Amino acid sequence: MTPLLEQFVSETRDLLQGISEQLLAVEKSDDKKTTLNELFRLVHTLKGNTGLFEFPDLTRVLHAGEDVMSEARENTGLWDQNLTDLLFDTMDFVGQFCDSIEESDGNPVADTKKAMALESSLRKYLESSDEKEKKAPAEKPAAKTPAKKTTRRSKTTASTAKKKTTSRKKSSRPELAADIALPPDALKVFDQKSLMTAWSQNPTDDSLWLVIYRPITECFFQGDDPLHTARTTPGVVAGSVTSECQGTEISDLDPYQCVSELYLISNATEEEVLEHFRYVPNQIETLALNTDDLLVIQGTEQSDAVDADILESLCDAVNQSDWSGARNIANAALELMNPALEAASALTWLNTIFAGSDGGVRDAAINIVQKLRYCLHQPAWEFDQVETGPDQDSATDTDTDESHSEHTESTDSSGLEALDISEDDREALEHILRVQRRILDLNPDDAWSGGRVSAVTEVLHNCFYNLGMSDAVNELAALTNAALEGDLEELIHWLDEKLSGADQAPEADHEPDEDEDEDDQDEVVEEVEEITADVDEERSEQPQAEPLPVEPAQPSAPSSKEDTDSKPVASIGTSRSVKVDQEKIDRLMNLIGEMIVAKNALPFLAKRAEEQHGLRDMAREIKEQYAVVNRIAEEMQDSIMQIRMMPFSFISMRFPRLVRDISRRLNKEVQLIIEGEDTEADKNIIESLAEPLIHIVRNSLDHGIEMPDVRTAAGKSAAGTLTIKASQEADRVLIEIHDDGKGIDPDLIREKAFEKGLIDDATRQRLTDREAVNLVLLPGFSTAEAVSDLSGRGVGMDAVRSAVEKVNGTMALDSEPGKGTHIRISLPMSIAVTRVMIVESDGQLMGVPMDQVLETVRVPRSEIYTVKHVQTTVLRDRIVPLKALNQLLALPSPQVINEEDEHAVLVARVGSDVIGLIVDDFRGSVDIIQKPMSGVLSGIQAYSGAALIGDGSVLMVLNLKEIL
Amino acid sequence: MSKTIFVVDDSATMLMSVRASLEMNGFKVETASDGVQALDKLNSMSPDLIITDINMPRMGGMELIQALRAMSKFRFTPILTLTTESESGKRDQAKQLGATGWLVKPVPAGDLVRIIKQVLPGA
Amino acid sequence: MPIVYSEKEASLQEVVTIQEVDDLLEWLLANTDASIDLAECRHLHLAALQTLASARRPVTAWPQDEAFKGWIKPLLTTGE
Repeated sequence: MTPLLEQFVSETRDLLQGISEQLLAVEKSDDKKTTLNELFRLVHTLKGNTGLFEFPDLTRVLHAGEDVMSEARENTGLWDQNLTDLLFDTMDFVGQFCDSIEESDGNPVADTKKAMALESSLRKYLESSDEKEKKAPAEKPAAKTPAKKTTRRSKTTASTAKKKTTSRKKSSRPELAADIALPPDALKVFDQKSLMTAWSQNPTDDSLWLVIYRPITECFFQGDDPLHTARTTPGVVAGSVTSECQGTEISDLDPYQCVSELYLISNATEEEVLEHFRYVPNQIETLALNTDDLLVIQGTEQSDAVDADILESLCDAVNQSDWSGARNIANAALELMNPALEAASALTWLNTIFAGSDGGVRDAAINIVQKLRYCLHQPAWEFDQVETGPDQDSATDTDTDESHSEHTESTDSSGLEALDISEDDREALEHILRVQRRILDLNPDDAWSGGRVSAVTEVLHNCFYNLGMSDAVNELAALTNAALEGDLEELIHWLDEKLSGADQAPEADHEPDEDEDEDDQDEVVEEVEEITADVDEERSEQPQAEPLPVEPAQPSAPSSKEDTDSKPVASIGTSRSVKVDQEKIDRLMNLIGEMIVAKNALPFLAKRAEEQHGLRDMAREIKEQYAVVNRIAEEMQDSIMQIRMMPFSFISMRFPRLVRDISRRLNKEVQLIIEGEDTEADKNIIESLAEPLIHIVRNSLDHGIEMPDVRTAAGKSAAGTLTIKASQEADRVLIEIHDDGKGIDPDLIREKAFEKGLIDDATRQRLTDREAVNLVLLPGFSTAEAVSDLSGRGVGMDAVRSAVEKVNGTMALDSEPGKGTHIRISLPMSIAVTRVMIVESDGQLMGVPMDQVLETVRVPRSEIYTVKHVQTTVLRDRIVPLKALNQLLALPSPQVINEEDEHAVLVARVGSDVIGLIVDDFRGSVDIIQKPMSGVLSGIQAYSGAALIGDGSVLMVLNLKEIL
Repeated sequence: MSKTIFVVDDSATMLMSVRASLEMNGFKVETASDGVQALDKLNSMSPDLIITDINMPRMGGMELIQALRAMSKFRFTPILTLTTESESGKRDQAKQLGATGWLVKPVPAGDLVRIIKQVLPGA
Repeated sequence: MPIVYSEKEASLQEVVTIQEVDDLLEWLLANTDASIDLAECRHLHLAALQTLASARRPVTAWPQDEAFKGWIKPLLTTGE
């Protein structure tokens, strides 16, 4: 998986949690609007993120969810329990998708059917609200196309425009030749040289755009640099700037007011130009140009600038297409001329034109010569007609029309016409299908044909899926496997059917021919590119519903002390916390463990310095240094432990949803109260709590809390209350779960336990009510008569108990019939560091966890009695069985006795029993970081783990429960 | 000298994706996860371009743009909003407040760089 | 430095941003008979171009990029 995908999954899970919280809040919230806004934000972010990946199922479902959420924000009446259920289902789908991403290492398999079902259910909500809205005049979003003024000038309008300009100018000038248009005035702003360059680049290209960009005065304060924007226009061939600044005294200038206009000529398409200026659509104007329009003559008018004879011969030369002759004439005339004159401009143009070699030369030359004559007040010259083609403009128009009608025809005859999709979609679909069909015809023996087929089926799947054609999707799925194994027959047949009605030509025309494979592929590639472009366009044009704010509510991270009691979302999103891979923290933990061991070697070193080398001062200094290192190491260890601490909310946040779901299914009413969510404990402890707690909650709802009518009859409120409370008690965490349900009947439990043979008759009589109730914790006990859907899946409370005990926790149960049940779970806050008592036996050191140690005593040999082959002694009026450690570990040597003839006995609590362990000696207690045994050693049950101690040796930690 | 781009988004996934695209193309990238954090960080830096999401906790993109435009050092800095395809209304609103333009999520790396070059002379 | 100022001439270099406009304007106001050298200039922010247009100072060297020169030359020459 890529890091991005990992990040996505992790963030998605956070978002799902946030969404789930908000969904629950909506039902209770008085201020639905705020909650719905928040909800929308979360879904919106989630959906936005999915767009980064190729997960169409996910994106589609979330898109529908987003739309519904957006609608619900506006119309809170849309919200009901069923919608909440549906959205929960949707989020479950997303959660499963995340699982699939992780399990498949980034190649998830989506449940497409489920996705489609969810999507359509979600869309139904939109439809129903649409219907409501239709009664009111629906306000359709305004056309997306930016306001633009586009004029393709026809020759006639151009010459009319020209007439106006000329009459305004000089009446003495004659009419310009009828087919020569004066360029728009706007072009006069260009440097003649740029125009010439532009012309040289496109002597025959007839599609040019003049763009006039009039930035708003304040545009600099929007971060615009209009000159940069204009200069980077696609296909720009010339540009110019005019500005009112020229007339402003610099002392009066406000340089931050934009008072300029920019002009540019581009040979890109109009779409490309408009796309480039999409941020400022109202500030530009586009005008179609012909290449001829570039032939702008600038300068001062002087009617006798060129001698009449020279003009004649120039016209003649041009008429006969004698370019070198014409050039000579022009050059000669230019040499003597004031370059600022109009005539000089025209002659320079001629030079530029002749320098070009292509077809547009004659037309352009005639154009310039006629303009020159106009400038010189001479009537238009009669040039011979040479291979004058049809009017280019109208030709193009006809072309477009024809091709368009062709398209329409072919779609009409297509079998896909029955589909309820837009004309454009159908056209695109048909095109795509045809291309896929032809790809299938390519040589199946190519090494890569498998990939090709797989690509085809993927494309087809996406097509049909995105058009909502579930039948086709399913049919395709059935055919895909065979196709991937090389049997294309059925797929081809099916595809042909889809295309039926459309002419079967493609097959006939493009009969697969191995020699032509390559050409074929090229063509296909081209077409695919075309289609992609089409589809892109469509996508961008699709009007979408208005979405909105997003906020990833991070579940309060380990370090978040600040967002403890305050639920508000505002405090959650703050990014004060950092996500760290758990492995890194574990590594840190290991390192500090080693560090502590390493620093513990210093006192040994000091001792040696003093005793062996007699360096008393040195020893003292080492000890001082040790004190410093020790303090830092301990603080460090403390900090690292803090990092591992997690708030109880990490698991408790799942309960609201759980309780809601279960109580709805059981038709019970339950109020859930969670307290102490900020209580912290080690990550492992918190995590190990999740399963047991869920089980307990299920039990309470299933067996504890009664149906509303039963409750009312018993004089209780209809809604039951379930309280889950976490708190800290010294270095332990206490979790209490209390319900006010019917409680547990101790007699019933007694009978059951007896029936199942868990207790004998005497015990049944002897047990107190409290003890009886705790029998449910015994293995194999389940009170439910029938195995219900919710609890009692063969795992009873005993599973809960063993899970708790695994992390050195204890649990107890209290119940009062008719009043409710109370469960207490007590856990260590941290399992990372264990305090152990070190004992010595047979020359070896071993550890016993301190929380099992009750006391250490010296027992005189005379006070040890053997009762029924078991050694015992009496401590504080209590009989304590004794076991020799050496014997338990199958060590041959007897336990050592001290000078006063006493045995060292460690009294420990194992489960509910108290037992005395005879060892050789006690060595005090120490904090260790216990590591589980690995490799072959992991099979040895007698030890729960091992740890390094200060002098660098290994300490084995005894697992008393196992060895006794 | 490579240009610095400041990206603000509350989605860590989105930040990661945009950062990768930008760094691949030689830009320096700094990020923040909401408007408040952005303003805090921007106090001590002057990126060449700012890209911001609209919907964020604490302080959203609209407010951020307003705040930045009120600061003399960011009067003229190009600001792009990071919107989804359906947020065209928001884009216009952001422009009114002083944004230079917008990006549409998800932004392919090629488009991102093309657009940045369009609004950032010398990039 | 995108703009190198001397007593008689401002040499605008590389990409001149809007951030430089304040200084440029101040310098132009203080050096009324100085000229402009654009030989090393690749781009001018429009605000800088406007400032130069308003100042109407002789340009001693045009940008090497012909296209860019085409963009700004008409605006910066008519005042001469």
